[in-house]
Amino acid sequence: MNAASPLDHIQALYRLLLIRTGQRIEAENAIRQIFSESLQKVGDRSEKVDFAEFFRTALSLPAIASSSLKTDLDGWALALHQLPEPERSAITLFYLEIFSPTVLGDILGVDINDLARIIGTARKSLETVH
Amino acid sequence: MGQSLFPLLRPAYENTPELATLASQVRADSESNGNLERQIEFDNKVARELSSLSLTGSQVNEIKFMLSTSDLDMESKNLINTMNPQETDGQLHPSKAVIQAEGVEQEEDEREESPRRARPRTILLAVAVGLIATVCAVVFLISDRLNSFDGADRIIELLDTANYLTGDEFEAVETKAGDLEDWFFLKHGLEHYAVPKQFASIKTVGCRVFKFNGATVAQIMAVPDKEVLFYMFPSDDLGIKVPNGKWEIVEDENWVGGVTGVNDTCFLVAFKGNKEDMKEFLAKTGR
Repeated sequence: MNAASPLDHIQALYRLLLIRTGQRIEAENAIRQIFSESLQKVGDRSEKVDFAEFFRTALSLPAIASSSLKTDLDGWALALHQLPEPERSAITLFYLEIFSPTVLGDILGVDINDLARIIGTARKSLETVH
Repeated sequence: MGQSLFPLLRPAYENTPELATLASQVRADSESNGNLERQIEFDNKVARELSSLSLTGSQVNEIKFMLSTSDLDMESKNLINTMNPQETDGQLHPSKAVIQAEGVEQEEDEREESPRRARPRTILLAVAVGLIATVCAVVFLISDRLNSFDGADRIIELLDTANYLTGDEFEAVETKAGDLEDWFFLKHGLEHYAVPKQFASIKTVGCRVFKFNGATVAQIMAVPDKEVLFYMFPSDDLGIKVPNGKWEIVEDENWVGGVTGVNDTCFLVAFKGNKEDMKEFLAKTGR
């Protein structure tokens, strides 16, 4: 697994937020909020950027139910958005290939066996829908 | 762990410590390998569409700028650790080992020093941005003032009236623009007819006189190579102050106008286009 660049992380975070919110504008606002709040927390301390923390923050934001708002998504992206949590975020992060499965489980707060089960369930749901 | 981790297999993850053994077992068995290939094929379809959702370049730059001005180290150990599967196997990344070896004292020094580095830089950046914005605003205001003249807004209003012309308003008069002085005087009693020499030989197709904000305006339609309108009226009647021989250019949404003074008469030439088109037109007719 190759190391992802900061740009990869930024784009991946946006994709996760877009799948969770279903709307580009919501995702754009959320990513600005996440970076802005994280940088404020860091303040004057010379902290190291932990991109995993940004993803944890993204997951801590209220997840929008897929039926509650109009969405900008279609195709497989819409199918991902329509999955329930935690399947939606887990398989989205899994497909983004930014973190290893163990780190992914850590971000999601599950062990690797639970992660495998969640990914398996999410994949079956996607296969059923399409 | 065994086959329970099978759903996690993807080419990108096959070499991670947690999945490497399972991946090699699955690849060795033809039936399992076939199942995995089908799973990968399905996953690739979804992953491809997911990766097509992207922030624009400017949005990414905005975020990069936030990070770059925050004094944070984006190539830090934590960033690398989150991406490095070796870390999950309990092995230290070299950067982490180095950082640990530096000791508590150095960390404290860094924490004390960082505000002194960060604050002046942020302040300087803010001051620089403020100065640049102020200079830009001043340059814009001065340039706007330099490019304007008394009565420019009236000319823009006059240009706007051209949007409502149908062509039927004009009386057909096919002659040269420079030969219409008598026609306007005899037909309309108009005394302020003056055309710059460079337009005198342009052939006209129609003429008319109309009132605009109390001023009597002579208007000519000509078609040298595109539809062009000439306007003539007493400069004082509309408060226009343009020196004789000097051209000022104004534009509204659709029309662009070139204005100059000919004795006490204001002469306006207009067509659909922009300032660059008018500059080119005036240069061409002035040759």
